[in-house]
Amino acid sequence: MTAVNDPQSLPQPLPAKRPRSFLAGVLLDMTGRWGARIGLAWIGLVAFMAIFGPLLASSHPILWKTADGVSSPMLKHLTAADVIILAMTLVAAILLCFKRTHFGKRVLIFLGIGVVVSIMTLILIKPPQAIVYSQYREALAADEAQWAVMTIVPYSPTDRFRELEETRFLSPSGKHWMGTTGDGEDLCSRMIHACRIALAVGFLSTGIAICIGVIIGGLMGYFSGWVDLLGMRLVEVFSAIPTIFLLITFVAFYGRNLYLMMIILGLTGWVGYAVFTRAEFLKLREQDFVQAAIACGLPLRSVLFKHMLPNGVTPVLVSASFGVAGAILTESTLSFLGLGLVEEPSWGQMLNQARGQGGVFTWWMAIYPGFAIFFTVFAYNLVGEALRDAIDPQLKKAAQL
Amino acid sequence: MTQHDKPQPLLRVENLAVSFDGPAGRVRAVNGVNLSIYPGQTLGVVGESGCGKSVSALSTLQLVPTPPGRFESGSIWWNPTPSSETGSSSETGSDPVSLSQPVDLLKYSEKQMQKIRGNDIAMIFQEPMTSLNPVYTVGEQILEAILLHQKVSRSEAVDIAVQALADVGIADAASRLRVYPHQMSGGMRQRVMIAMALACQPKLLLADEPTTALDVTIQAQILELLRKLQAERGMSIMLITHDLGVVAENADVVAVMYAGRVVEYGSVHDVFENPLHPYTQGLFDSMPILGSSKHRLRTIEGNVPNPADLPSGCPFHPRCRSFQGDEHCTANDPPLREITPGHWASCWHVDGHEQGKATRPDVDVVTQIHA
Amino acid sequence: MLTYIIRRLLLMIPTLIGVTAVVFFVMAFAPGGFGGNVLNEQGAQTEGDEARRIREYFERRYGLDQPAIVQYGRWVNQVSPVGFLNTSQLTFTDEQMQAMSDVIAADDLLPKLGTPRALDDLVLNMAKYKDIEPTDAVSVVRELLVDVDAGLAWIKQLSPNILERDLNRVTKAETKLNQQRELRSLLQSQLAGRQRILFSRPAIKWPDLGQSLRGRKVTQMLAQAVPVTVLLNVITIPIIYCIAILTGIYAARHRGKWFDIASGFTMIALWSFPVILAGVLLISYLANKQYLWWFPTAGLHSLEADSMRFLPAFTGNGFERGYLLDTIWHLVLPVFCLTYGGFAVLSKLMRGSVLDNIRSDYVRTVRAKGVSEHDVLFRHVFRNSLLPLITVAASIIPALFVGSVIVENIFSIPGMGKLGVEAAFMKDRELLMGTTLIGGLIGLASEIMRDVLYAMADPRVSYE
Repeated sequence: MTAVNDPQSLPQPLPAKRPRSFLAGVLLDMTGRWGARIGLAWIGLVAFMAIFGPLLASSHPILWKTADGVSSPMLKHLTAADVIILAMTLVAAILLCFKRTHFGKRVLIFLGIGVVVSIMTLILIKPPQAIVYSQYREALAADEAQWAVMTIVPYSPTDRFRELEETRFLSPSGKHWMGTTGDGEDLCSRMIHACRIALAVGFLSTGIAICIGVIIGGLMGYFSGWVDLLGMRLVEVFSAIPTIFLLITFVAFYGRNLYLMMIILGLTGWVGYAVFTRAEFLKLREQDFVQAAIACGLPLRSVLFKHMLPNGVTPVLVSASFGVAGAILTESTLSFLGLGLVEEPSWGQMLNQARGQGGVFTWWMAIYPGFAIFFTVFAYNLVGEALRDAIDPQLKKAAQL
Repeated sequence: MTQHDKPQPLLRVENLAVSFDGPAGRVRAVNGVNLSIYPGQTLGVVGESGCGKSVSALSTLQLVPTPPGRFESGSIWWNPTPSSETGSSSETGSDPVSLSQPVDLLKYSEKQMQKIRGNDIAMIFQEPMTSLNPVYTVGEQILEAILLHQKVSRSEAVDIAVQALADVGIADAASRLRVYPHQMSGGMRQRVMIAMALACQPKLLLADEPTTALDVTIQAQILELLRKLQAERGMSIMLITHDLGVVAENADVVAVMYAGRVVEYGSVHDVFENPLHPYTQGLFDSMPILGSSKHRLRTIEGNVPNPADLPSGCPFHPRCRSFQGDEHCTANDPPLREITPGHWASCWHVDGHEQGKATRPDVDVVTQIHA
Repeated sequence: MLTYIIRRLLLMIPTLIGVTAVVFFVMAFAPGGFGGNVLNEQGAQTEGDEARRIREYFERRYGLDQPAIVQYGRWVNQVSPVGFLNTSQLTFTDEQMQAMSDVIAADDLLPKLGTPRALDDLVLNMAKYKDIEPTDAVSVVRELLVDVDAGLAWIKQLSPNILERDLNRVTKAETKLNQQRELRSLLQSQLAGRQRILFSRPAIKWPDLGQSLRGRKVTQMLAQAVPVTVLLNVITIPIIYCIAILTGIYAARHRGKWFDIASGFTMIALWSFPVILAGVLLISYLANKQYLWWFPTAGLHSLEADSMRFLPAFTGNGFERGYLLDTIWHLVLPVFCLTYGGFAVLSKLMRGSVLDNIRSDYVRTVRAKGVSEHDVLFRHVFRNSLLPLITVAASIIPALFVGSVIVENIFSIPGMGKLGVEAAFMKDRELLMGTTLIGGLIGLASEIMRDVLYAMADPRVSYE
């Protein structure tokens, strides 16, 4: 035998690196693309504003000294939602540091703490109902307060400066960086506080849509037969409904409620995900590993969620990213049409106010919120596009192995 | 046949090197290939997938996509002199006396190549299922080639197309012109491909694994058809395949390719009777022989080398059973040498003709047989 | 092919029923209920009594006192071209009317109870409601009016929710004649607007979309609005496809060059650009006295458009732009808003499709035939690359429809989108159902159209 045939001399495969899951590979590839980086950076900025909004823009001083001593009106006026969001961000940041713990376990811990924190804050936190914004300015002007530390944007989103003469439609200046609205509120502050709505609407409605879509689509794809037939009729009906009318109808008939709007956006947006998942599951069902799992007598739940879902869900990620963008657009459109929230700030609603009575156009009311919508949607679409590009070669690689 | 001239090869590939830019860097798919095909001859090109067979053929028609492809060196000489016999009527215009100068197809512009493609040199491909445009009828696709290269009216072109289909053994050819590719079987589509390729009476047919995707019985029919048409028209065929049986049946001359170069070259008889290169020997050993049950089939150890990372020296040495650690093999790439007259091999271990000259392979088998 | 189309058209029916059912029940189960805005507005201004009357009238007119499923059944029956007739759809011949008037005039009791006109109405409503001959209706009415107790019992049966107060008005009346007068007006108000489906009279009829809260026929309103939206989209779609195909091919041919990268980036940006922002910016900068007043602010025509000649011309008063140019002038900004976002997706699709095809086996064959690059691209690759664009046409049309909802509202164009949003604001059930139906119909029709186009473009597809 020659040396060549000696198995020792055959090139050995490289020492295997820690195996990376398909999803992790896609995410890593995606974050390497500059489009995705720009997108993620902007989303990060919006997320930062959404989380720390009350600490960035508030009429309540962070700290001030009055006759009663040093106190923090801002902390006192944090709503339950503010407290929950801030607390959960802290928890998430801490959990992210425990890299050793299994990811799923960390998510569970996070959710568990979330429930506890939510219940506690809802019971304990009772911010004052009647808010008089002018008290701080008056107190400072009257020297009742010795000093006060204000937030970066020292105005709350609903602070209408009732005590001042005329603050409506002030153009941007050093005092009001982005000008004021038709109600005399500071636009910059409203912009910051609207981040939360934009993000929440995008994530929650897409989350709901994905849940419904993946479950219905998965069942359709897995069982086929009459379940599929029934499901496809449902899909057909929902894709034939002019969604915008259904949305408008919902909002008009059920009132203007942010949570309701998210649910409705989710209820009307699941069709695409269902079709995606169905096709994917139909393909997966025929594959050997699923057949093997069924043959092993694994319970249906395990086959569906442990073996099929992780393999079938990657393409859903791409459309989810586009879905978030779409949801943000739809929310701003509804708000623009006057079907959104009234009191709370939303970018679409601010944009709507840009064209005041008599066709007077206030450019800052259009440019700032409008471009905020644009950049956010653009960011999500860039991420989605990068994800799609990342998945493509990954799929090819996976097919070769 | 009178030996009035030494016949010129119809096509001569010299030192062709083609590389591709990929994510792993520049890869040489073809690395110094030398081939020649004489009029009426069938050259069989054998090798494993990825050895550069198809790229060589595609280069002949400049069909290698550039980028990512790149012609690094070499030339492809095309010499369309009339074949030594009567010659077809269309050729009478050209001057029979002067030996027209061969032209280098690689230097041709895209415009010039378009005149050659499908007209002088035609090509058929491996995948008959996907190689026809699905949205046009078979007739439209054949007519396109005819109208492009021949100065005929449309109705004349239809006649030619019908004749071409009939020639490849398609019954009821006139009505088949109106059929879409998807309405035909794989074998029928390959016949259509051949009809389309031969409609303009090319002098050279490049057949890139024309039967690989077909059923065995259909394979035999198609090869039989190619043989028949070649005999009728006296065209040359470059038959690319990985099936040694197909080569034995159809080819006059064989070129065995490995890792982008020709490792053995000679007449079918020589190569099959007396394979010189260890790779060729390995190929034969891995083929079952009817009626012999003596030994188990031997495989060639190892894998086809990654073209981006070829072994040093002789690219075959890690898999070579003659390799015994000689420095010669790991250090130097053996040239293709004429070992016995008309039989070339590129291996340091092939002895007997130490003085074998490194010449360009050139076997005019047809002439030899006829002579 | 024809059988396929017919089958698809028939399959549209269950889907349309599903679509309208979803929207209908969303409205039916809403807490505020149908027409709430009108009632609240009017209820706030008028006394409780008047508001209650209006509500009762609406309830009778739209059958709101019945369970939601029955209401939906009524609506479907009304819309369906094949169905049962409605009492309101019954008509009387002139002879019947004359005969009835004669009977009323000849009656000694009936003329005393009021004007013959009011009695005519009462008897007509009764005839329709009970589906009896008009002359027989006179005797029924007479019976009910003569015997006050029988009349009250009948009313209670007809509307179980009737208030004691209304009944008391009849019983508390002093003279018998006054009692009968009160009874007559009560009968009249209870019968008015009450529709009953006559299951005994199946018929093929013209679909009726009902009456909007504003009092106009929904069919009429849609007949004005739909062509506007269709016009908007018919102009937009070819523009979108042309730009998308051209840029897609160009980007594919110059893959990896600056045009490809720049166009790819620009496309995503345009696609992300909210129509609401684009609309507001355009209308505020280009159609505004404050800045540039190049384009009209609202609507589809100028006020004086009806008096214009069709084509532009030079007359004694100088240049007259004419109806056509006027419409185009009004359409520039809206069509721009609809276009810029639409072609991004298509162009990306076209680019990918061209690239896929250029690399395909058949293109290699075509090249091997000696076909020039230009013909390879425009004869072979082009037609194959269009196939995916046809596939998405069905989803582009509904998307454009959404776009036109926004655009119509920004530019105050009286199309379907504007009508639908107004209907939702007014909680105008019939109008909203009508808009949904037409919207769904357009979506489904575009799907069928897509399938037919696909079969025409791709010989591999057939619906035999």
